[in-house]
Amino acid sequence: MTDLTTRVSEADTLIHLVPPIVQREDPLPNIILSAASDPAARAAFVVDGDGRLVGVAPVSELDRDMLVLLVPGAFAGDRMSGRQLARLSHGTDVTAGQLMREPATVGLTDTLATALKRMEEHGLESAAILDDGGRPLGYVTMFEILAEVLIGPGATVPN
Amino acid sequence: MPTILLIDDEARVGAALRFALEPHGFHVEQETTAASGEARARVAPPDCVLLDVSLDDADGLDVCRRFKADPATSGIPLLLLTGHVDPASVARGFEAGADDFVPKPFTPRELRARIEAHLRRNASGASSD
Repeated sequence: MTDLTTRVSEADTLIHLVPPIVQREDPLPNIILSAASDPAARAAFVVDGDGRLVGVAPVSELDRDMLVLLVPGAFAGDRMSGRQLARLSHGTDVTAGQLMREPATVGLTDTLATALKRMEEHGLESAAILDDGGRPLGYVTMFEILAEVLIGPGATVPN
Repeated sequence: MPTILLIDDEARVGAALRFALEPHGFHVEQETTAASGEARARVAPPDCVLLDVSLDDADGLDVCRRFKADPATSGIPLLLLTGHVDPASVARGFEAGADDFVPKPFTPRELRARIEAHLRRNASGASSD
């Protein structure tokens, strides 16, 4: 029975192992492909040369990045943030290191409640699960945790 | 203790498998090249092979065909690890002789269930021979 006191390590239907990653220097197309390879993650996780997590590029922001590049007129000048203007200046050469933001992270001994709290604090839909070396082992998502706790893993869509 | 041979050039995949499998009584060994994986499987046949489709030194589907053509390894359940699960890729994998697919990412429970199903099938096949 999964509840919010369940440790991340024991939530073995909620942990997605081998998350989508990119290197800090990877350009926007690589980030898009990585995030698209695993839609559930709602992000591409950014790692350094040693595989340690250094940031996250959430899909919600990648959507805006692509929109700014494809339809710049969609953003009136005063509505375009400095971050979006910076992206425009780099085009698709903008790198994961330039796009990333602080990730939500948990360890294997943290509870699902902690995972939800970290995601909420960071405004993210997924949290990276880090190993002892700070490398992303997997991730959990807010939606799946809430759904499993509320209705259980056996729930099925009615015919 | 069943031995799972992972052939994958990414150390992080090995870490994921060890996390998912070793607390549940499996032993995970990793080889990072096709050549070393094939050699290891011939010398000490594992109970199951997980093979990355996209190896640096070889096409995983070619490796799969060699595994299934070699009498020393043809009976070992071989599961392809892949990030691409479109119908054409799945068809090519089964045509190459793969017994199953494990799409990345995977949950620990799903991975164990797939491996255990193939181990049971292999065991029942061996006992009926």
